[in-house]
Amino acid sequence: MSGAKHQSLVKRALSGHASLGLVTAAFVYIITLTGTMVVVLEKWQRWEQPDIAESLTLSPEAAQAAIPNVLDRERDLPSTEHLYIRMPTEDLPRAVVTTDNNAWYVDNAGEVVGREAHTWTEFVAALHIHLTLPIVWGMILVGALGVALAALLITGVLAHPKIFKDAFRLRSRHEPDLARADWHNRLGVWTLPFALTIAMTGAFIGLSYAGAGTLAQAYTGGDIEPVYATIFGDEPAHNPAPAPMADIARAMETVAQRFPETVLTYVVVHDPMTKGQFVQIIAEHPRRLIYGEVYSFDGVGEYLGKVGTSDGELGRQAAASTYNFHFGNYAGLPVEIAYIVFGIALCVITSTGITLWLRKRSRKGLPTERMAAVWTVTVWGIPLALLAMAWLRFVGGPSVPLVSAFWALMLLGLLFSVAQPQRVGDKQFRKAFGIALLASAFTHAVWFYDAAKAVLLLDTVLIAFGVAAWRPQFALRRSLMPSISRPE
Amino acid sequence: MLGSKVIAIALALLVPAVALLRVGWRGDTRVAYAGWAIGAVSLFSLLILEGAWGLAVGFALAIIIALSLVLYAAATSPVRARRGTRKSAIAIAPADPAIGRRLFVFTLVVPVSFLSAQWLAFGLSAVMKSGGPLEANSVATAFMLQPLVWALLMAWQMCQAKPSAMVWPPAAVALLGTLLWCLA
Repeated sequence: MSGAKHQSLVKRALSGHASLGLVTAAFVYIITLTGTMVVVLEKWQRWEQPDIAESLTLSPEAAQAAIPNVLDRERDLPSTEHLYIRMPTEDLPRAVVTTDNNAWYVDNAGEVVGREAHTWTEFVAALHIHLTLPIVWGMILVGALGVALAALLITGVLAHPKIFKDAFRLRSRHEPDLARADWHNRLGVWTLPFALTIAMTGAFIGLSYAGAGTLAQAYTGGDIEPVYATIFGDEPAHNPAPAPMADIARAMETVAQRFPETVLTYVVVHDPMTKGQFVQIIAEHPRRLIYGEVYSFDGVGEYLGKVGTSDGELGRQAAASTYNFHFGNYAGLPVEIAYIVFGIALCVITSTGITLWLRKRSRKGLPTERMAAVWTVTVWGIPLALLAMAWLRFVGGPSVPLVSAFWALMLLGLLFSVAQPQRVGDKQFRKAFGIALLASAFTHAVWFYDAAKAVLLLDTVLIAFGVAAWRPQFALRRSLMPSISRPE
Repeated sequence: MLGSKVIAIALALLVPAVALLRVGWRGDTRVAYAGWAIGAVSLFSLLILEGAWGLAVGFALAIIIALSLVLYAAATSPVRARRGTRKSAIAIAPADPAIGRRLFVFTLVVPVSFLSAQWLAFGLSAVMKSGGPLEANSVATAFMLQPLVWALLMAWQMCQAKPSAMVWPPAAVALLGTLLWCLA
């Protein structure tokens, strides 16, 4: 009796797993693929704008000097209510001053050296964070997809009664269906802690808007800011009377003296050049998951206290830890590489999952060709379209409307796959992507031959990925690469 | 300095831990248990030494080691003759799309369960702040509990045999939320 019940649960879990997967797979795939890229966001930013002068330091005096230099560039634009200085780091050795109007790179003397114009990188990040939809609704949708991914993982485990028995078995050279199922299950099992973590932290980040809205309606008359202020701190009352620019140099020196173990990452000036101006310095704490502690100062650089993300209430610390935990930015390049490997694994899991379903459908004699073609365009067409957008950005400049171009290209590809499914081949698309990636990275490396080593290293990695996609037998044994997105 | 060495040792222990797990897999279970034990000691040490950061780094490393062994298994997997593509000789007409049933399931699993989870998170948050002003712990709990409960609800619902059975999980959670709200 219990055996029958167990069998029944496994079957029901498998059925639920398949249904959820079918509804969400394409979105989960695009979010996972772009999320894998976003792990090294700063490296893409440097790749997109490789010709900006770089420096690893920005002294307090230079940071102070950078502000009037930037404001001078924007004297014809509306005055800014917030001003951010992003301090240079090893990942992005460029200081950036951002106002409500623009963002500017400054050198180690505080002089403006160029406009921040990493449109393509921002577009990839926007796809991951809110699918390029209006920010709040897009983040809620992505959060809901994070929940669906977590439910997929749970139903996947329930549908897999031999989870430990098969833990180390991967029959990559059996018939393709079995190999595909093994790839799907084994990668799914071993990346489970990672996948659950990123699904839940992503859902937390996206759905917190809905939670904050509920709490705001109940307790603060609909005002969402006091809700977030309980975790991230609030701003003092605004006083618009004019005043000299805040003394951020003194604030930076104070943090360096009082909290020498920390690393400054951001300086934020609220309502600059007003009597109510307020300075916040965000500083990373090594070996912590939190994005940093927030130290507050008044306009003359007097220390007011900290928010408490490093040592305050547990809820505050936990909430402040979700971002770095989600994006893998908490232990340098080794963990970033691990996150990229896990992200690629999740892409393979998603791809093979739908392909297994398509194969099953095909074996039942149901029409599959169009669906398979659509899935091929999704799996290989999305990275191809992202690459096409990079070309568009380099050729057309930073003002090219990448969002509309990307979705138009995807729509065309999907329509083509529906109209001409017999002309959409998995191998051809994979090879086309591999060759395009290889050619693009090579062209980039030649064009920007004098760029920083890190930029050229990224080109080298892209070339390797291109070769792996184009000629998998060069990179892996052929048998390790069953067709993942399209049934034979 | 000493702390860094201890962390390095704790991380290094994960290599034999996963290796023993592999050796004991389908073999001597005592070896596998030893692997689990060493892994647990390593991760616990990292948690004690470095908190959540240590645990996260430990898990990342352990997964990478396990994936390496799985990839090795893939590379050394014996070749088996591939059968031809098994396809049904006849084409079957697609089944009834059952749009109404699908919409009903979608409504239960997405908006209804979302609201139900939101209500539970709100109820627990209200109990935690117990009439006081909003504070970080109750707000963060509300933010974190909602997606967790929704995911569990979604999984629970998707394991039901028929759509009508999917009504009860969100109903139960909403009832629990109401109880908590009354307690607050």
